[in-house]
Amino acid sequence: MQTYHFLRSLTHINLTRPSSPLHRRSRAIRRAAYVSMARAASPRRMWTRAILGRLQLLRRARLLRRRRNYKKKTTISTPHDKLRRLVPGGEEMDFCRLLEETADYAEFLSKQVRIMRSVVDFMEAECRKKEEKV
Amino acid sequence: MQEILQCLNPCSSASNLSVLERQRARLQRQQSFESMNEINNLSFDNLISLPISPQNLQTDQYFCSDSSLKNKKGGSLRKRKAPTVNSGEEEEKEKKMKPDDKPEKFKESGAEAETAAPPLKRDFIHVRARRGQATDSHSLAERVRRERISERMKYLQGLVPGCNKITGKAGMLDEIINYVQSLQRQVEFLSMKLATVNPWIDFNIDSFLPKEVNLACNPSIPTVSVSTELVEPNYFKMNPMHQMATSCGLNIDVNFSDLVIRQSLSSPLTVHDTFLDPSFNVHSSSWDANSQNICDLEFHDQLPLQSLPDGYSPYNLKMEM
Repeated sequence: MQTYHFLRSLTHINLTRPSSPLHRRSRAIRRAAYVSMARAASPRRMWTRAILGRLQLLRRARLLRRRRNYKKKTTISTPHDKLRRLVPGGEEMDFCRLLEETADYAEFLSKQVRIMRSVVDFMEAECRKKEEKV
Repeated sequence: MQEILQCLNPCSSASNLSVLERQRARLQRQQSFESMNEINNLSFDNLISLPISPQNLQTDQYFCSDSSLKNKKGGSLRKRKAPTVNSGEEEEKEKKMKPDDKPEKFKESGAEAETAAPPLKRDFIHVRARRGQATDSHSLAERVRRERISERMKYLQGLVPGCNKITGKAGMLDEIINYVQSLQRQVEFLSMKLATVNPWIDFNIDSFLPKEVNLACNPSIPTVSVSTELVEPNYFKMNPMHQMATSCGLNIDVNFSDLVIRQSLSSPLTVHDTFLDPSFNVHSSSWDANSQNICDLEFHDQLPLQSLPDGYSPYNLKMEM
């Protein structure tokens, strides 16, 4: 499911704006990666909702042509602060829940990395083939 | 009451020291611990022997709530002389006699400083202190929480590669943070790479994939397996990719290292991913039976077969594979 979503968004990115600058495209791809992760995961997860919520905010911001800083700044200073910042939606959870979310998030992240790697490998192989043919 | 205190004093200090030691090596010394603490015929066997499992937590909670009920009924512990509560009394007195001892958390080792622990002084999670602790709902909840946390830490330990040697929450946390950070960095790096590689490879794979694949139709899988080879090449011919005018246009769909993905995923997940994989992987020889079947589901039900474009026949394509 994750693969499907990711590839779909990848093709979409390539089709809509093939000429946009590199950094914008890479940003879009990165966003697509996270969104495909979130779509593939259970919506009961906090990080899923956080990512998709971010997406909604972004879309609305784009419509309004404004950029909003959606990152919350917490005043909690716990030793787990770093982890909270890493995991999307991790700001307002207790530690126990945070660990759960981290595990889930890490699992999907590693899957995503694998997917992207295989896509890259595949594409590079294809490029090489093309070059050889030429 | 004071007699009890006096009796407890000599034996308790010694036993508590040993209990502390045993707690550190608790997994290996369960028997001696149990033999020392015959008074407390509690179900802490469960607690000791198993790493945390939800059942344990439940039994623990159940037990604790049970005993807490008992204790609460009698009012303050010190007044009651009922035999059932006696051990509870003793435990509580042990607790209060040793404010200096370090609180030992039951399942956790290493740096404890990070857990906020208001009932620190009462936290001897001697297993045998459990009944005494049960009066304090805070420490009960605290203990349950701690057990849950350590359960999750253990799960994370299994998830993060190379974490077997690290004990202690702080080290584990650092490892987890590093792992998540490295994964995020990899995603970023790979997205940049994809952005560079992408432009000239037209990647129209997904345009014809159905959005909702009813994986619940699994029961129908065994019956449908026949027509895979016939169906899919047709499918791929409808692929707008073949506009690229070379057979490599089809092959581009093909060589996804889905094998990598598929093999590395656990079986419940393969149902999800493999249904995609066949759509990209024309090499039927490399498919699992699962993927073929799922492929059948997808293609058979939802795609109309169209006439083949020139130059291709399903069997030729198959042979190319």
